[in-house]
Amino acid sequence: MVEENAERGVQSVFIYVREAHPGEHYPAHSSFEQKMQHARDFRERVGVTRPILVDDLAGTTHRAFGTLPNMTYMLNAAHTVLFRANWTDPVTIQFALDYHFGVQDRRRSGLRQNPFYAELHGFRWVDDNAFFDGLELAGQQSVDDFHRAREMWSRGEHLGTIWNKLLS
Amino acid sequence: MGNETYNAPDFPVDSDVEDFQRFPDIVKVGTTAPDTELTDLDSGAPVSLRDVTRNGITILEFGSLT
Repeated sequence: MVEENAERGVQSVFIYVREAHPGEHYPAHSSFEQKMQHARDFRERVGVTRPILVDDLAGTTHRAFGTLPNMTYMLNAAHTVLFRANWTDPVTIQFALDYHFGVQDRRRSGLRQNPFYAELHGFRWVDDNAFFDGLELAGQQSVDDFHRAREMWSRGEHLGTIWNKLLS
Repeated sequence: MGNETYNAPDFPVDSDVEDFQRFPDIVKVGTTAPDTELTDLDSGAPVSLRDVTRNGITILEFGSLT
């Protein structure tokens, strides 16, 4: 997908942020050099060919864009946001790119177009096996943390926590 | 949010849920994205995000090994 879109002049960049599911093998970052090393390991294990830009230890870029673990933004040359998603999903990214190039084609053909605002309720494919493989790579703590989180979600306890914060 | 809170030692269940709820209200489509500085993994050099996007349509994917 990255190569096909690169032929159309699309750049793709990976921004390395905090560990979402830290464990014994890949703990939360305590130094910037450790964060760089995790990013190198990520590139080798996953076989990333895109440029990887590493956020600072404080997560300045990550927090400026929403702090979510696996989000995507599509920006144009004016640094304007054309598309964004709170989860990275290749299908919707391709949809956004194809839509954008369609707009450009229609503009070139002389068709008059006005901008408008749109939203999309996305549905992403869930691969539990790959996800839990990732947690095990991080370490048993990561697996245990996620099981605990899932139990909390199923009991709705996280909703209570948010409600209490709103009232306090 | 301090460094220790941001780099939480375990999966931050509460803040994760809150961040998902807050997402629709920040950096909306049609607005100018923040310009921040990152570090290129290959060269170790500082990189301005604005300088990256200047070259054309750019997909930014955020993530980590875990």
